[in-house]
Amino acid sequence: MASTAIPRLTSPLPIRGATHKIHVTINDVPFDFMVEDRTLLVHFLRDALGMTGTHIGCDTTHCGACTVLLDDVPVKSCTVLAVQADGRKVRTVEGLESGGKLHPVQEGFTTEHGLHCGYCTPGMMMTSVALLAKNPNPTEEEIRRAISGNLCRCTGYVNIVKAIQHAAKASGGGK
Amino acid sequence: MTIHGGIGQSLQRKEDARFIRGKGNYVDDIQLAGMLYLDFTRSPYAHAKITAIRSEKALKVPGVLAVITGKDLDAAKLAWMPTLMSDTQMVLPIDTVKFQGQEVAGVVAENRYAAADGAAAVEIDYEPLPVVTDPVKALQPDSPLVRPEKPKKSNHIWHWEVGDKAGTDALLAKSDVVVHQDFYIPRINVSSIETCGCVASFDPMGRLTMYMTTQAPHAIRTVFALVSGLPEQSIRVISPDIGGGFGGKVPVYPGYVVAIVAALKTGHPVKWVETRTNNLMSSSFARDYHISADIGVTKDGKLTGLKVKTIADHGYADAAANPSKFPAGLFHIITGSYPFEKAFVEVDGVYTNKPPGGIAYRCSFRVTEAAYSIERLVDEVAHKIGMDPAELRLKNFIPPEAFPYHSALGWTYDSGNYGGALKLAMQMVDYPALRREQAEKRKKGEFMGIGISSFTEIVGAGPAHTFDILGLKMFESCEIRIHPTGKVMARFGTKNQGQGHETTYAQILATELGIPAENISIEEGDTDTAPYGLGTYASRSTPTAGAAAVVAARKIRDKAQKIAAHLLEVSPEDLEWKDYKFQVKGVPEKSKTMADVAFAAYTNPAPGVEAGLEAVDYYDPPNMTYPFGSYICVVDIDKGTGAIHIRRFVAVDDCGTVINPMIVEGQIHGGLTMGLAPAMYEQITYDEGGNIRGSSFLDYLVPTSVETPHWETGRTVTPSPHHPIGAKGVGESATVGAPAAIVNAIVDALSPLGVTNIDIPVYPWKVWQILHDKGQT
Amino acid sequence: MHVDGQFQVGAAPAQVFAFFSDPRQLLDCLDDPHTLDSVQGDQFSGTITTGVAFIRGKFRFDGQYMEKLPGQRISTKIRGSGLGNAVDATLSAALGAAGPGTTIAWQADITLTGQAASLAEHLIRSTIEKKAAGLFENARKKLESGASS
Repeated sequence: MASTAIPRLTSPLPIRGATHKIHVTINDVPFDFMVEDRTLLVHFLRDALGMTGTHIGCDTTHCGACTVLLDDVPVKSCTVLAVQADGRKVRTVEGLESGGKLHPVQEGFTTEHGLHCGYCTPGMMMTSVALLAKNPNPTEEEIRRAISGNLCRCTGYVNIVKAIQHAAKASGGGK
Repeated sequence: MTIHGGIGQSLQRKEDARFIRGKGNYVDDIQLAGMLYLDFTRSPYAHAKITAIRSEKALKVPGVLAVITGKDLDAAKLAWMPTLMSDTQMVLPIDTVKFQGQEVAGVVAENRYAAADGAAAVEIDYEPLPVVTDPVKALQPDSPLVRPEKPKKSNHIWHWEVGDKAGTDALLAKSDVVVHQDFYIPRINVSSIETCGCVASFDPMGRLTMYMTTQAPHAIRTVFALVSGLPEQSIRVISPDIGGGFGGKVPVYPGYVVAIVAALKTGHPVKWVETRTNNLMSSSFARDYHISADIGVTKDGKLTGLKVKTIADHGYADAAANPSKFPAGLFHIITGSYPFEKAFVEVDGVYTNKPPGGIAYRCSFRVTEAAYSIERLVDEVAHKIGMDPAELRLKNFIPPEAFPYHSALGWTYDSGNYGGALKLAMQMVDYPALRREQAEKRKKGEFMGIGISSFTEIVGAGPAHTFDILGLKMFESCEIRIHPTGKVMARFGTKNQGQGHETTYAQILATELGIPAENISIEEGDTDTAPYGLGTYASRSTPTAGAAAVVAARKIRDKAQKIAAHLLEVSPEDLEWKDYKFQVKGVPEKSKTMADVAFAAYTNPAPGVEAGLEAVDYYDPPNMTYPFGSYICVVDIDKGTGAIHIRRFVAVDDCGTVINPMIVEGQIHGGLTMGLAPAMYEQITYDEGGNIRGSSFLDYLVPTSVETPHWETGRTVTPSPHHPIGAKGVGESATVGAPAAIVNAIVDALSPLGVTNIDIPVYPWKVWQILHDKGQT
Repeated sequence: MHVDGQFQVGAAPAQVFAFFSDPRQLLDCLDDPHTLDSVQGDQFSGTITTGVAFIRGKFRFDGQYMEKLPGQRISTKIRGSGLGNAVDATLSAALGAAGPGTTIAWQADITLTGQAASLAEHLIRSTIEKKAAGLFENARKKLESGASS
């Protein structure tokens, strides 16, 4: 497992409200943390654990920049409390690369120029990973439906579709 | 002979390596020890007097450290700041708010939740004032005044005009047909997925490091120095990775300034990052042009004159991001691809109770407004005189031999082959077959439309004689250092926001220096290290910084030739630069590569030649570049619902020499989607009371992968004659060209019902209403 | 935004008037959590914790009785703000004798400014209509139970 998948703890923030202890497995490594009840998962990952690959693009659960996998299901981590991750597995963009080898989705995005500014990319890739796990052979229509909860302002989506098709092919599926 | 990663190759992007691993470094990723967070209490009113601000309860919120108000800033003469267009705007209000969502009090706290709690706890008393959000009403004498403190006592800001009014009027009067059309180009928001933000940090010596989402770090440094009085060498602006800019990250927003004040006040680094709602309510607005146009044509289809009157709604301050001499940007590119004999354009800027607008939305200063208008007008002319719109365009285009072409409104177009692009697009889409199919469908009462847009852009600002921002000439810079091992570090005054600079600049340098692109690193965005530049917007990076790269590389080659001559024991004149190395003329086996020369430059420089191998160039472009293209859109309209299905969209672009075809195509895909957006989905409106409609992605409809069609692209290449490698800009062409193609297609589909125009965004309900009114549903 | 309605209760007009004249009774007709922090003559103030869609939180408000015609008519104006929103509401009730009981014709005129007002209009409209109608429905229930006790 790539070392970048492990949270690098940043300076602890003062706790001002009620807390809970959570047991959560992040990119295959189990942890116990004390978290403030109201902390959103995305802020917990970014501000407390320093895992800044998961981004924030809106406040109404529309843009998908914060998408992570919670027990392998893509969720928008701006609408999940950190305490809801208790006893569950979280996978983030930092956990895609494995043993120094890029995930096929990561390969697909760079090969097919599926990213420009890179801001929506982590969320977009997490949604893609979940899609391919469920449907290794998606059509263009199915891909477009699957990523419709992830906004991209730069690419116009055509190359994102190609990137996911590329990944599907590399993983043995693909149409 | 090619060089790896040289010009013309679809090189995989260098910057991807960090982005696909989640290792980009955006402003909100920056965490400094002891960093605090800034949030704002915002005005619920579009216009109101502030009668009291009470901070006591906010200061009692656990974790809140300070509340900053306009009165605090006023004590330091910082409550107001200058805009780029010789106007002023508030940092924080002292006594009146001018738009809904305006920042009123800044709350500094130890984390973002406490800052938000604190902002909610600040108590502010308002007395609502009359509101005006319609610029036409704002010009009436009885309108509420948006800026009563101004001596003019009017909501009229400025009048600007260009062209020959009398001549145009005379020409229109004798034209066989004059088509009149009004267009409203609604206010929209760039909505880059990353919002705006910053981290302001002072070191113990009082030196400010400002990490911020800016497209123009150097210019911002100078503005901060002028406004704050801090010595310019005590300010370091770092623009880290930027999650999309599109013009929204050119202006200085109040949040940046308050963050600096908060960092000074608290002695801690302070982070401010807008929420999406904040952004949609207060930042990054474009367009809002009310256009009224007359276009003349002879009965055999020859365009004659063009007259355009426009009201520009700037919100409460003219904080547009334009070059200083152009209050309406480059709107006078509105004669487009056609040789109008005479033209006249006038624009009036108006204040309303809205946030400041006038940034570009992936466009070079009002070029979209211009291209949309002319390409819609040309289609209307075609329908009016019963000529095919493709034929009308082909008949009127400025011919390739007419370049350089002097337009009626004063521009000198560098190069173009408009017919070539349109003919290629027509061939790709099989235009005649589509028209036949349309005729068949019309017989059956079905609505299918074909829309063309043959736009001409103007990008690459700009020549120093005309273009400046706050007096800073719009040159661009490149500094190259070749290290002893033949590896290159090059720095630029521009700033990548996703355009792929780290790759394309390396490709230009690979070709010019004969060093493979993987051995060339590109850096931008740190004012301590990069040479001064005006930044990235308006598709200017390749036309200006790309040219600076070429010129700087050629300066290096000049010096390198002397060193190579020394190594080969010949005189410099005996050498030629061929196949990416210095060869003795006629003896190709006697040669030295740039890497050989680089090593020698530090270990064995030629006698009389300075050690090292570096160069810097500040490039003043002799002219703008004029990219162009022809787009064809095919739509089918569902009679039952009014839904518009874009069946095909073919985009042929010509941006001159292509540096990286993959990146250029990607830019066009993205631009097309940001052309689709205002044509069919996005707009920010305000109700009578000044309530913004569209303050979240619930209501502001950024196209998703489902609405976006599968774009098809094609290319012609007409190099720019004045750019050292013939390249033009391309990042925005498609945003400029696409809306007219889409709306032309929709109007074409509905033209049998007598429809000549539909205001954008064309929502299905608007189409359904037309179909319903005409008894078609 | 205007909402109105009419209902009849067994309580006498004087009793109904007394009910609506008491800011505590009036406020307790709200389903949302609230506090009444001060009452001075016809003026009162407090907080309401409420919300629509994702905009939720505490609103501060000031209220004032504008019109008090015992047994006939009563109206109050409430101005509140919070979370970047402001609300101006005028609530009024015209009372008419109906046998021993009272007919109450109520209306609410509500102006909402701020981010909440920018949300999809139908969403806001239905929420506000529901809240206004809910307030008077609760008033009816309280008056009925008061009358029967």
